[in-house]
Amino acid sequence: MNSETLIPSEQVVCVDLSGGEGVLVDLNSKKYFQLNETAMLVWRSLEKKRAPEEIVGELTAAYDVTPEHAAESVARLLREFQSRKIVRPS
Amino acid sequence: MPRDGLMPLMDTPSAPIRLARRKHYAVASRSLCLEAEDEEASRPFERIYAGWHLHPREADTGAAPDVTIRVRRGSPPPLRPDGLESFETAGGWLCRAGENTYSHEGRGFSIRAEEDPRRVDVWLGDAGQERTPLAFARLVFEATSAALRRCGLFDLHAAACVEPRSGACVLLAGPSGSGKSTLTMRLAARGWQYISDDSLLLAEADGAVEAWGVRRAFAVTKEAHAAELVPGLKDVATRAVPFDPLKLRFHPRDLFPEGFTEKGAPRVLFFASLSHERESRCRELPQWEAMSRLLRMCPWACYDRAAARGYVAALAALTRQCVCHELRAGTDLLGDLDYAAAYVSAHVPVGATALSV
Repeated sequence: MNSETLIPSEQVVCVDLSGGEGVLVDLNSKKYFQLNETAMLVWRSLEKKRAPEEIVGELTAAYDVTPEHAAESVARLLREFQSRKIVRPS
Repeated sequence: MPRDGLMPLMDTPSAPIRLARRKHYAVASRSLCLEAEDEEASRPFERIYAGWHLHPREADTGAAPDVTIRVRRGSPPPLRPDGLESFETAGGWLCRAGENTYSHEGRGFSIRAEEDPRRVDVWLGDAGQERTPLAFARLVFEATSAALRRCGLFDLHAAACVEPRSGACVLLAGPSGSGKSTLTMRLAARGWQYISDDSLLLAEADGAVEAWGVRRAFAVTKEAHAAELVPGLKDVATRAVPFDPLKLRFHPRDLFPEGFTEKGAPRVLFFASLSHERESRCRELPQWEAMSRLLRMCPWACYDRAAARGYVAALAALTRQCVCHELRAGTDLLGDLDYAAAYVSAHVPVGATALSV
């Protein structure tokens, strides 16, 4: 997994919905994204400038998931965020 | 000096401009100051504000208004901000937006918002042929909406009523022709209090979202008026809606003298449309879908960047606070008045009460 720390773009607004879900609004592209509970955990971790390995640790602490599975999920989600240009290197 | 790639605009006039006329208003627990070069510059705003829930008041002693609108007219025209995202809006207006800059131009008009101090500058050109009532109405609406967004008041194209049993506030969101006014009238005729039939301001207060009315008048189609969809409708004084030849405007207090309430805390949100089927259909929406619909209805939540975070947060808070439904209103809601009120009441959650706002 790429260990580069990513942080949210300043042009993204994140709001909470009920049940731990959330919505991201990209003010640049005017696109918005639905985040499920675990994706919101990852996004909030990025806001705290957590490194990918730390985010994996937070996921395994919060959910019944193996480190390997969590690492794979976090890496996939971060790639998705990068491809959408809603995160940038710290 | 150009600043952050922007050309100076209106806030750096070559000679001081005397703003001789000053009016103060209270709106949804905020204060707005209207400063104008003269009466002619101020008049379009004052005339339209008289039909809105903006309440003239004396100037505060020492307290700065939450936002100020400054209106100037004549030449020279303002310079345009450079290097910003630009896009066309309704009526051929052009908006340019940056992180802290918002400018909106129509033919013969310009609006520019500043964040510190919170201020909206309006320029009225000399182009007399452009000064139609429609153009002025659009100018006043756009300038005032931009000003209010800067003090945490966000517009929503929706009607609002309060259920008498629970005190729960019910919103009916949708475009023109989706049945908002008709249903609002029919609920008001059954003792619901009304806030607005068309336009609201959302505000967050103590963790809850409030909905405040904007326009005082109701507007109904000529068909609804002729069909007297509520008793007494044909007897109230109406006048034409200048911008919509299919509608008539009337003052709801003439029909429901005790029915108005200035605000409510929404608990139910309907996204309404007319189905023309016999039976109305209602489907509860997940929060995500409700949020998606609200974002599509409220483009300034994405396009007016300086206000976007507050706007998006208010919309999200609204979806958390409400049970949200898609309502495809059928002709059954146009029949018996009691049925219409009962149908809407049935979608108010059991135990819902008025939130303290």
